[in-house]
Amino acid sequence: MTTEVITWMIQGFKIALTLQGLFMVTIGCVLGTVIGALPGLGPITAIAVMIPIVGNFDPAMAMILMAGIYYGAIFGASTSSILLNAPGVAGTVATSFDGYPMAKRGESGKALCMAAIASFSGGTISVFALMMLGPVMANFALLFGPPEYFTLMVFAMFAVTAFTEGSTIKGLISAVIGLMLATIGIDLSTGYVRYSFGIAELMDGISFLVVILGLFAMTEVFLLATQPPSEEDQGYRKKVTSLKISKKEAKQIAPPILRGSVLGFLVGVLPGAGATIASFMSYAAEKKMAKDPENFGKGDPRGLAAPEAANNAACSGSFVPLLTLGVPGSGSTAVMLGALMAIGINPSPQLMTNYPDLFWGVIASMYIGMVILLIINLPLIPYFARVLWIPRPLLLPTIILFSLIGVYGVGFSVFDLLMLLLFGVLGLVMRYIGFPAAPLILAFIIGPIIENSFAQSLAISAGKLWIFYDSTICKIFLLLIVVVLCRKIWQAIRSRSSA
Amino acid sequence: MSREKISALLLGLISLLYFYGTYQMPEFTYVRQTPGKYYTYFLGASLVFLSFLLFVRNDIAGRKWEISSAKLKKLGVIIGILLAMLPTFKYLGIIITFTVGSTIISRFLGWKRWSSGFIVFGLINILIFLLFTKLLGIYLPLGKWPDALLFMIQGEG
Repeated sequence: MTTEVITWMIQGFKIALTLQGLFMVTIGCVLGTVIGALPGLGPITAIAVMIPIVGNFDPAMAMILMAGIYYGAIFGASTSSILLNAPGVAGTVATSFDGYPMAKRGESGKALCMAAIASFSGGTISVFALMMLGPVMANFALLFGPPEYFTLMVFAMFAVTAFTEGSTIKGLISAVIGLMLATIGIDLSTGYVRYSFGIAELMDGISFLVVILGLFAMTEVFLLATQPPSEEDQGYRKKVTSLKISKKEAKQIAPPILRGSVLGFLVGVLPGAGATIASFMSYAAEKKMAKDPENFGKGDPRGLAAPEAANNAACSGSFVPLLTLGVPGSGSTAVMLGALMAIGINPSPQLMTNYPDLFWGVIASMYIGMVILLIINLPLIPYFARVLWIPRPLLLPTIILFSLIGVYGVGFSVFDLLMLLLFGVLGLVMRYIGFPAAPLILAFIIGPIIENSFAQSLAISAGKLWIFYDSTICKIFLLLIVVVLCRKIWQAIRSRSSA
Repeated sequence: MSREKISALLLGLISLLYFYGTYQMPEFTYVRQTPGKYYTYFLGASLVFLSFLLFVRNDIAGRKWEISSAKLKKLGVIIGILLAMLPTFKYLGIIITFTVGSTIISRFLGWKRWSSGFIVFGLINILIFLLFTKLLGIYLPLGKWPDALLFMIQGEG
């Protein structure tokens, strides 16, 4: 196993260390850091904007770029969490609990340095685990047929819905709407045009780029445009203080980083969990283990290091289901899967076996990416922190521009642009009435795969639904769906009774 | 009526529309024994069931609409500008339309100077245009004006 991994890793580094590979990973990390640092914009928006650009790329290069943006955003999001108490992405909310108090007492440089070291350690440990776990998962994936893939996809959808903040009913409704939207257009198995209601532009279905950019980029723009100016709009012009940390502090943060990394990776591997849950769990665990928990929330370095290591580890961990089973476990990985599908990659449990260059190239690029991010986030952080100076009136029209041109550049259709605005408004309405967008996106992207594996399974079983309960793998996933639902119902009952 | 109940009713309507769309489809089978419309009927039925649950549940947090008229007005103006940009950009091209549109939006969001707005967004648009057309080989419309200008120059010459 180890020899095989080493051989493949050498192959991976051959891909990642090409001029093109290095360029992609550097651009991805820089863009990710910038996007992550800007409050309100997340990696989903950045990856979605990149899709028209990566359309002509080699799949491995496209994935290296998108992965770089994703982990770069999680890495860089700590900057605005620490300096402004305005987390760039949800996964760094826990970082601000102790990072911002440190910055307030004049230790912004130290906090940023600790965050960078924790992120680097968490990310690197997690990439190593991904590298070791990948071949094991690939062997496991060989046991998957259409019914197993169907139940796995349904489980991923339920898990994402259950772990999303807010009401489960609303999350499930979002997911069902996503699945419904995915059925619009020509049904490939019968050739029949479905749900287009006579609109010619809908015959090919709705472009996933329209849905993603509408629900994320445009909605973010509409939301930020209607919010009153806050601290970050005035521009953060304070100087970043010294980045030096003492030996004692380094010793203090080492164990939380290690624990956060392991916990983060394990949580990240689970579909639906991810950076946010990992960072909160890690923060809570450190606080519980500490002899002086009262210091947490007042600028304790352990409270900064643990969630920061966990969120980066979870980010790399979320690539395990995506790259080995072809199943996205979060909104960001779903968008990456959609982009791969747009390039012509057929997602399946044999993704890693069928596209080894993609898997090993991405892993090798992650090692390189972590070093690049460490450079960006340590000596260059005072310069990168200036990203926060970009005024909102200039930033928002630029995002609109990229979204409009991105969508037009793929479909060359004004109707798509109209749909983009429509989805932007829909996303805004969803935010106001508390419907999460992530389950909709995930369901919309995996909808055709779910329907296809459903049809294939029924064709195999001569129409008997019992096939979804035939194998042990199917039974396990069905059981997990029941467990996830029961847990959510139990939580709802408990919160109602306590209220 | 609370926003939860209004959402539930709207979703109920959407599911009816979806059922209608499914009903309109010809009968087909994955295999002889199984109607192929199971999947889409199941989705419609799921939405009906979930909308019903949403309608009957008593969510205290979901009782009020929380959007102010000032916010709605601001949104309306931005969407209006964007809608106005859509039909014009095929004729004026992306550089002119998006530079003017972006500058107007940035002014509306509080940017103080027209001139700097034009320069910044003009440069961004030119860069994006070059990136897409020259580097990535993706066609973006430059509009009718370059041809018209060429015609005028050639005509005068």
